[in-house]
Amino acid sequence: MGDHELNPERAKKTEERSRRNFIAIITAVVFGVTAAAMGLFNLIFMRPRVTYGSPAKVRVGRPDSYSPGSQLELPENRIVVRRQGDKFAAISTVCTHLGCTVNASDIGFACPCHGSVYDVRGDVMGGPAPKSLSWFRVSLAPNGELEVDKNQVVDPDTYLEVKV
Amino acid sequence: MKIRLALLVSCCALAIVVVAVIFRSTDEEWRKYQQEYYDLAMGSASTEAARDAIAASGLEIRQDILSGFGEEKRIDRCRTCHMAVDDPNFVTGKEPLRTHPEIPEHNFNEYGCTICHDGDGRGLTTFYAHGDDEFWNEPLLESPYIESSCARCHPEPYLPETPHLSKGRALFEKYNCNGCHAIRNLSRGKLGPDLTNVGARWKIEYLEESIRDPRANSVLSVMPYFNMPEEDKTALVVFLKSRRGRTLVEDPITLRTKSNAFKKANPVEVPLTIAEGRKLVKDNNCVACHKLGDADGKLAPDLTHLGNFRNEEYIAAHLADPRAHTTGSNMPNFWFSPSAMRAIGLYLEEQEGLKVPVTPKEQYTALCVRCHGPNGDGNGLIADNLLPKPRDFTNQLFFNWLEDSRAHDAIKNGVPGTAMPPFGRVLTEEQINGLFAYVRGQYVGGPRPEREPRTLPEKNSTVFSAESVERGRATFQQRCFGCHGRRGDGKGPNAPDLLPRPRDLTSNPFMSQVADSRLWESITYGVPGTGMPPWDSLSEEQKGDLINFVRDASKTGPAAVDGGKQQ
Repeated sequence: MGDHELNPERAKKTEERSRRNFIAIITAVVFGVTAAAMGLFNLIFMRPRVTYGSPAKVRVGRPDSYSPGSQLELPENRIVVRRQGDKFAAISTVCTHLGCTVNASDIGFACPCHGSVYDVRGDVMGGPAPKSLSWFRVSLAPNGELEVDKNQVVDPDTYLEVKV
Repeated sequence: MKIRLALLVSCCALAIVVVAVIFRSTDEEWRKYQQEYYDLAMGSASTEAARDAIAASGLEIRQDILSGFGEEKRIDRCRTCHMAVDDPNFVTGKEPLRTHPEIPEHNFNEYGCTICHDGDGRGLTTFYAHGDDEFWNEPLLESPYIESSCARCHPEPYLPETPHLSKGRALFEKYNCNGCHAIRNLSRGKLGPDLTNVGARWKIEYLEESIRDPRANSVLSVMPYFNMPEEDKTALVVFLKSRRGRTLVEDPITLRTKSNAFKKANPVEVPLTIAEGRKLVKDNNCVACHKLGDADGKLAPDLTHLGNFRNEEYIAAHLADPRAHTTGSNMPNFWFSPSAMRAIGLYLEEQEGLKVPVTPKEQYTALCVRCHGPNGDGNGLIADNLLPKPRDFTNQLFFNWLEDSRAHDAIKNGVPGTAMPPFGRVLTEEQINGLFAYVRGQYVGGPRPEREPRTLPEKNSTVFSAESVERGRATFQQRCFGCHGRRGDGKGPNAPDLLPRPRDLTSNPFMSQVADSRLWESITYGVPGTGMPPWDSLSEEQKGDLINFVRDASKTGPAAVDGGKQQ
């Protein structure tokens, strides 16, 4: 600061230089933020919002359309919806071996392709299957129907309790 | 300094643009509606579990992926905004959040929305999804037009749930649209455009306009104005909109079987009275094309005094098959019952009382103008719809060569196989001669060349036999088909360029009254003023074979030929 008083010419120059720097910094920040936003949103846009595969969330009807203790196969969605008392669960019917659709059988599930056998819980009892069948999250949609989200695998024996 | 400042300003501008773009692309219409739906659902949720489920739902694009509608995958994203269609709590809601009325056996997962409602299923803004884009052919259908969609899967003619569609289908027959327009498996008209696929091609407004004013979209259209009541037009448009090619439930093989079994639905028998005939003529809108009294469709011959020229038998036969007497007629077949044809015949036979004017000029105006035209050039009001086209009197070469006796015959007895009626029934011999003299003086003119004497064989000297016909056929395919066509029906590749058109040699009524000598003369010397050249390079036997071939083609073999006399 003392310099400025001594040499007004120089003080003016220094002042100009610091203003110049200030503008440069602001510019860099604005540009950086803009570039970051553009980059981020480009990344977001790269990921498709919807795909034409079979939908992950499927609505499978009202709870009262299932009778207690029953089990309904939905081959087009490749799930089984099971009701026990007032509790609901959805189990995948995609064989963990090579992806065939397994059939519900007396003891649980049986794969027609290579003979894998699962029990009612979906655990492997025999055959080439490496792991047990997945259970999916079941929730209640706002319109009162059950909704199965095939993207969310839950632990076996996870049921949704609904007052029917 | 200035440059740095400019850089800062432009950087800020870029930042603003980027933020605006990001904001716009994330602030989509459907997010608003989904949020609104969840808010309302949360308010009406009764249980804790339901509230939890709603709270856990995120905003996302919802789509129904449908198969079995003629496309591998049909994508309907309508339920992204219309969240409440399957939620019974929104019966009183406002669009787009409103419960859809329940239609048994049609669930959204399997059928989606656009299969009934039209619009663009992939669209995510109101503008595109509702098909408001000018170039989207299937904008959202409103009531009652949405009934047309039922026919996409339900081929039954009458569904109780679709009164407009059923009515439109009945009207399609009532207004005799089927007479001119073809719809696969429904009608076989040949005059107007095929309507099998009309619903897929045009929007409601276009269809409506085409019925109200047929010239609005096609200046050259010959479709009559029907002036139908508004509700009839609406029903007809619903029916037309429902014509979208084959329905989604029919496969090509069943359609083929149905098409073979196609018959016009039960022709109604009627009492044989003149009153019934009058009613039929009125109901079937004959004056949409024909002239009868004051009403004039301006497309087809005048029926006002038909009784003077034709009897009931002729008229009934003409209705049974319009091509029977007039081979080139483009009148639709109306599939009347035999008694209905006779009743119409009885009524039209009554339409007599033609008063022949005194002077030939007035006679020409009264009798000839509708076809031969006020200038005598064969371009009368209805000439375009007649085949053969009316003679052009200004064709000097032809008319100065034509023998008076043949012209006289044509006026007196008409020309069988064409629209020329027998004027001998209303004109005296002198009047016929006077009329032709008037036509010759007024329109033909020019000097008449001396007719050199020609020696013509009385009868075809080549014996009619299968071999002769085959030889004739071979020659015909080499020399004649270019104009007369392979079958001899006058529709060869050169025919459209020729006026008068090449003669239809398969026309039985016409060929019956043409003597062998005239055929021989036409082949040997050609016909002046027409496209027919002299074929003097042909041997006598070849000409004989050709004559036998056309006799065979027109079913006027030796037994039927009668020395050029009228039948």
